[in-house]
Amino acid sequence: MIAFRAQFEALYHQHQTEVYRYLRSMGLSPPDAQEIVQEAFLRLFQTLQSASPPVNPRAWVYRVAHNLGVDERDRRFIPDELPDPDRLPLLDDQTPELLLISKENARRLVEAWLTLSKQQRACLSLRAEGLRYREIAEVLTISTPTVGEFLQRAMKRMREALYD
Amino acid sequence: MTSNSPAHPDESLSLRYLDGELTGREASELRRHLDGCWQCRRNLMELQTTINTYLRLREKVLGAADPPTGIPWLPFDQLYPPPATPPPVRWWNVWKLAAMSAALVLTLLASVYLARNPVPKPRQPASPVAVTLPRAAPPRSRPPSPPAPVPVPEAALSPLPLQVRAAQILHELGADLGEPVVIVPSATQALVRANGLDPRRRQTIAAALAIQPGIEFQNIDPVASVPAAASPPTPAQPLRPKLFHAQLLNRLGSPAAVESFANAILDDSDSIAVRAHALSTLAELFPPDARLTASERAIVNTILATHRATLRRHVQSIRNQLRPFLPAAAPAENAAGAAQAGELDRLLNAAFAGAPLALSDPELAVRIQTLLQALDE
Repeated sequence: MIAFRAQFEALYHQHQTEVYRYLRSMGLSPPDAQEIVQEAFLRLFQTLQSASPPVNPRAWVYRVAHNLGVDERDRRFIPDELPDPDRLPLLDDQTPELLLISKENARRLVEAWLTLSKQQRACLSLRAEGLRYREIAEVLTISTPTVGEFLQRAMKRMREALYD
Repeated sequence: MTSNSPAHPDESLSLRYLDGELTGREASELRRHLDGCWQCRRNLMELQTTINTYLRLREKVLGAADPPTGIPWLPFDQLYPPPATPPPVRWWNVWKLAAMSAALVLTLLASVYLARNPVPKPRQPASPVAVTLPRAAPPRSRPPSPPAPVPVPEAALSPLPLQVRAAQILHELGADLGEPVVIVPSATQALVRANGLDPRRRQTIAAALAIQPGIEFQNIDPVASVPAAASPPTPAQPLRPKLFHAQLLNRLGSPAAVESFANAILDDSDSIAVRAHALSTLAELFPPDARLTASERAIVNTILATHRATLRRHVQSIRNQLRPFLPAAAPAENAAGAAQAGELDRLLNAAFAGAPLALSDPELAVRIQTLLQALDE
C-alpha cells in the first residue's frame, strides 16, 4: 500500500500541471481548473484500487478531467477558450522569448484558434500536452483517425494564418 | 510513395510523420521522398514552425506551467484519505492463523530435514537370534545431490497471472503490435523488456505497468552502433518487374493509382505480419496447458480473438483486392502462423515493391494465394 501510494503520488505530481493547463485551455478559471484536477485525481486514486483499474491512468485522468471541465464550462456558459486577441497581455510582452513571435503572427494564430471547433481545439491542446493520437481518442471518445483529421485541419488553419 | 514518385505527401501524412504516428514502412517511405524533394522538406519545416509557434503562444496565453493563482495545491496527504483501518481481528482467527503457519513451517522444516538427512536403514540386530525381515529393494546408488529447495506452494511463485496482466496492459496500449516490447518467458518472474523505445512511449508503458505491482519493466537502450568498415560496393541487383503491373495500370488508369493500390496491399501485409507475430508470442507464453484460471484464460482468449479477427480482416482485404489476379485454386497448406505471414509479406514486397525473388510470376501468384488461404482459415 505504501509503495502504491508512492507511485500514485509520483503520477499526481507528474501530471497535475499538464491536466490543469489543459483545463485552462478549455477556458476554465484557475480555481475551477484546480478543483477539477484534484477531483479527477481523487477518482483515479479510488479507481486504481478497484477490481478493474484503468490500463492507461494518464489517459483516464484526462478523460475524467475533460468531462468534468465540459460540465463546468456548460454550467457557466463560457463562450470561448481564449481571450480577445486585442487584449492579450502577450502583445505587450517584450521578453526575448516572445520576440520570436511577432505581434502580427500571434494575432493571426489566436484568430485562427478562435475559428477552430471545440473538438479541434481539444485535440490540439491534448497533443500539446504530449498525448498520443490513441490517448487523445480515448480521452475524447472518438476514433484515432478522427483525431488525425481534427489535428490536420487545425494545423492547416494555423499554418495558413502564419504563411498565407 | 517512393523517392522516384511524383506523389507528394499530403498534410495529414506530414503531421502524422512529425508526431511519430506513421508505421515504420510509411515513415521510411516518407523519409526517402523527403530526401529528394525540396518542396516537401520546406512544407514540413513550415508545419514544424507552426507547431513551435503555437506552443510558445499557448504557454504564454495560458500561463503555461504557472501554479494556479490564489489557492495552493493541496498536499497529497490532505487530498487523499489515509488507507482504511483493517477490521478488528477476532481472537480465534489469530489462533487459527498461527496454527496454520506453525503447521506450514513444520512441514517445510521437515521436508528440508528429510531431504538433507535421509532416514537410515535399520541395522541388523546384534543378537544372534535370527530375525527374518522382508527384503527391501536395494538402495539405488545416487550421486550426491545439492540440498533440495524448500518447497513453496506453486501458486505463490507462478508469474503466470502477472504475465497475463502484462499481456493485457500491453495489448490495451497497442504495444503488442510490432513495438520492441516483449514479455520475457520465464517460470519465475513477470518481466517486460523494451529495447530502444522512444522516451515518451517508454514512459507511457512503464507507467501503465507500474500500476500492477510485481511486473518488472526493463528498458535497454541500444548501444550506438559503430560504423562498420566500408565494404566494397556490391553491384545493384536488378529489380524484378512488379507483378500484375500491366494489368493494374490498365485497370486503375495511372501509375499513382497503381502505387496507391500497392501501398494499401503492403500496409495490409504489414498488419498481418504484426498480428501473426502477436498471436505466436501469446501462444508461446500461454500454451493450452498453461495453468491459468478461467478468468485469466478468458483474458488471453479475448486478446487472441482480437488479433485473429484483425488478421483475418486484412487477409480478406488483400484477397478481395487481388482476386482478379490470383489463381482461383491453389494447393492447401496445413497450418498458418507467423512464418507464413512473414513469407507472405516477403512475397508481396517482391510482387509490389520490386524486391528480388527467385520465383516466376505464376509461381509467385500461386504461392501468395496458398498463403492467403491458409491465413484466412
